Amino acid sequence: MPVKAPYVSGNAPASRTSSWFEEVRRPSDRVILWAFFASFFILHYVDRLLRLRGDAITDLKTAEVLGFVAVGFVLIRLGGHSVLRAWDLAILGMAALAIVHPWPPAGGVALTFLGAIFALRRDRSLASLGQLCLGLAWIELWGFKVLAFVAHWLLPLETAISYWALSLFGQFSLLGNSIGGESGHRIIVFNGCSVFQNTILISFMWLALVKIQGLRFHAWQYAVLAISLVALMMLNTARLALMAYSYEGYEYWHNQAGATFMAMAPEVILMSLYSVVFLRRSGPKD
Amino acid sequence: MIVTSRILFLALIALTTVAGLMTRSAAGRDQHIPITLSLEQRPPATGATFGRFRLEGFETSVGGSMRLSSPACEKMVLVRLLPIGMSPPEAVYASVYPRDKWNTSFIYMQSISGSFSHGRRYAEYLIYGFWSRLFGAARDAADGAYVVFHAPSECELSPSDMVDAADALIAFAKRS
Repeated sequence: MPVKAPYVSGNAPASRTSSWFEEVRRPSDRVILWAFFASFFILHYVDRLLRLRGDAITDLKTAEVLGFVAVGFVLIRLGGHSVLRAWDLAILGMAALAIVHPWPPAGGVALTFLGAIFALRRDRSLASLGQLCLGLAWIELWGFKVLAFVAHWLLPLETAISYWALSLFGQFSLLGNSIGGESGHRIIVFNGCSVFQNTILISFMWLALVKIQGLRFHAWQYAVLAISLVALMMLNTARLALMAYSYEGYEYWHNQAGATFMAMAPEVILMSLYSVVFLRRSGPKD
Repeated sequence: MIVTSRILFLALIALTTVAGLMTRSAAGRDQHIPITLSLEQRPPATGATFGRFRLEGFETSVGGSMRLSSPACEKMVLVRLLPIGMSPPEAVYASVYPRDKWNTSFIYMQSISGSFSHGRRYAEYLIYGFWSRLFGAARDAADGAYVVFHAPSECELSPSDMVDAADALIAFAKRS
């Protein structure tokens, strides 16, 4: 009968170290993907997380942090499964090389290519990573660009909806993407006041929450997304109407506490609604 | 063979991470704040001159603009700096500054025109920007903004004066 080796307190860390070396010596798909996303995060997001760029515009958004947490959850669930094809390493390698470029949009372009390839895969983990990559690219790069091209018809539409709501409370005039009142106060709705960017943010945060919870989509999750988007659009319509109603309203909702509230609205609406529905569904059944 | 390529991939990731940190360190802090926003946050003082124009104050209605005086015009000229990603509110301009009473001019990259094809200009800006950045060329912040002049129709403003004023305004916004 073999004699069992006595337990030595130093054994556990030593075995962990050796297993780590083993992981590096024979890297699984999970290690490959961890390495890529860790590198991407370090190069692309750490300076924004630590505010090294020195301006509030580029601060890391809650949605982006949530996105990377979701990537982590997907990779944990991947376990020891083998999902990468031979040429996937080449694609990941090219994406890693692209991020070496210090120009921030280079990361968004790399994520777009990677996301487009992975999102079409049959494996749910890889497809989820692809969806998250595309979402991150949309938040950071493509959303603003697309808005700039569609703003000339989207902004008048958003303005018209706000005007319709506002006309119940007095005499106002609508002119393209502008609403004017009898007092002479007039607002022009520009890209920054459009709900477009916030709908992208809320949709991405929803995707991240879904992927943190699991890899499949469920009907109730779609319902939460739809309700959140409608709530956000209604809130922005009300905000535009209040800004057009009076100069004080404009100051409050554009430059003061109202603007801060609107900046936090996507997170607050989605998180609260998602949590309430999730807790109700997972709670004890009567 | 497969294991070797995977180890090589990890080595590549480590190298690109180090190289990326070095390129970021060498490139320094990029200019992320659009110059139009800089101007909004730190506007010029009344009395500041932009070429042959002098700032007399600000117009808060119609989206906000600067009121400039010029020796060539008795009335005020209204000027606004807009980011290239923002299309001009044409319906508003056509109504508030009708063509029979006002001349509206757009100045972008030192060229002046009576209309502004925003979609085409923005597409050019993105393609040119991507191409130049790909090869490490620095982007001039001035490319990211255009200037709109609304001058009373009785004023005969020289195009070169307007271009000079636009340049001076952009230079101020870059400094601020």
